[in-house]
Amino acid sequence: MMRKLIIISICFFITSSSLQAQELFPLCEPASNIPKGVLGLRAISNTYKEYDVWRNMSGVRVMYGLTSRLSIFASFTGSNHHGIDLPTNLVNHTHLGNQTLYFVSPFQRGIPYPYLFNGTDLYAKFRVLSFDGIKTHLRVALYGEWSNVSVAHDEAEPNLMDDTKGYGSGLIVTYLKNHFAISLTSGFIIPGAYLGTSFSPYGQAIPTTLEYGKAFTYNLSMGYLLYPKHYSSYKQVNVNLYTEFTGKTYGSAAVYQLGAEIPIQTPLLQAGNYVDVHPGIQFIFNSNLRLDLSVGLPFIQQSYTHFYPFTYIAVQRYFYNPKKQ
Amino acid sequence: MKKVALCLLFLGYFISVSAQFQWVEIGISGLTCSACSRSVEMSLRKVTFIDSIHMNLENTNAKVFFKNDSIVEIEKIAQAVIDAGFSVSYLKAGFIFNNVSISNNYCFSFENNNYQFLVSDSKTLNGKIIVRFIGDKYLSKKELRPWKSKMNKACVSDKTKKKSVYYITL
Repeated sequence: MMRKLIIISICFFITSSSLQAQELFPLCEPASNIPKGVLGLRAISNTYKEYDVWRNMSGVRVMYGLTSRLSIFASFTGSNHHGIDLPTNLVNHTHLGNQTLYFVSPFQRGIPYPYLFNGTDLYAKFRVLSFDGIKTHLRVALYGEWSNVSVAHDEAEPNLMDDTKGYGSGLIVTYLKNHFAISLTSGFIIPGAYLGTSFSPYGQAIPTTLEYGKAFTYNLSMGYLLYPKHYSSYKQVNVNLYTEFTGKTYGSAAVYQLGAEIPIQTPLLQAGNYVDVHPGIQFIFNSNLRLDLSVGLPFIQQSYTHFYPFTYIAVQRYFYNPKKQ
Repeated sequence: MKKVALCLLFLGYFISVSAQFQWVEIGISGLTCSACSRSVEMSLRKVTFIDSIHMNLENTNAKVFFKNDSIVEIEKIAQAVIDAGFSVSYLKAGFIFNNVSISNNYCFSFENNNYQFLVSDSKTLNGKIIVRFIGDKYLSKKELRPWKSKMNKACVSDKTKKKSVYYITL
């Protein structure tokens, strides 16, 4: 039923010709850039409930338009997604005759963790192609991302900025035509490994390396202006509706203890894929101050890195340098 | 009132007449949102010789007025739109001419810049005239295509080759 509703919504977006398009997507970056010399600040927060525990990641993103084609972002985040160490009982064992067989088993979730600083994420976006017309454009941009986040992330799926260090890159294509905007983002993530400690059931600290799966990412975003129907002033509050699909296909993780790779027997650390759908609403005040709200729901399969519904809230403002050139 | 030398430039010879830049209207393409229009306006506001900007949010164009006694550089206006991340679909300017007879490839110098008319007929311009700018910063690629063969650098001489030439038409 949910999927049918979403498909109907997409058809409505595509066939709608009397609505203005918007590409200021809450979750995914469009191929367009921040204006040259303009500083942007965005406060972001996402929340979900993992059994009885509320998980939250919050952060601040500083954005700057280096040129009209090149934008750079730096994000600083903190979360209570993970503990200081990897989960206890990450590695279990069984006995077969005289042999002890170790394996990575499903571990307990829903454990309260302290709020920790995750790290820094750097992102750069370069617009390589622009075909602009009156209220239309086709734009293509390349992006690169690097994260030094290193928390005790315990799922195979890599999440730069939120949970894992590493780097990624990709392509953004944004098309605006006859009042309809659509943006496709596709890229990859090469995550770095987490080097930490996992405690055995006997309280023994065991150095553990967790290599996350490489990922292929694919996102599709659409949006339109609900209000106003006609622009007359910067002071008009803009209300925009969005639907974004975020998907990922990722490889299996690898867990090493004392130089040996431990077989994995939990889907949390095995290869997977999923697509989430994020209906969202955006309010823009004074044609500058942005308030983004969206809710993530499973569309195809589901992610193990978060529970559902996955709520996202962000506030963004541009600071224009009034200095005359 | 800006009094300037409006000069006929054939092999470096000039004729002085008086003229005045009144305003520039610029069409902005590639945007639909008022936040985008605001970015364009904020970028235009950085240009020193601009006094005021009237942005039409619905039609995505802007009319720009200049400070008294300032030197207007058209390229900087277009560049401000480009810096904001958008393109110029047209740029036209209100210009006061004082009995100037023009023909195709008529050249003149105004406020330290060279201008070349691209027109099919000879005319005498007197009073308020709207001129349209031709160039890769002032038109879309499609709109520029038919003009390219006419942009023949007739106004470029040894004396002026270091200066850019603005191509204009009526």
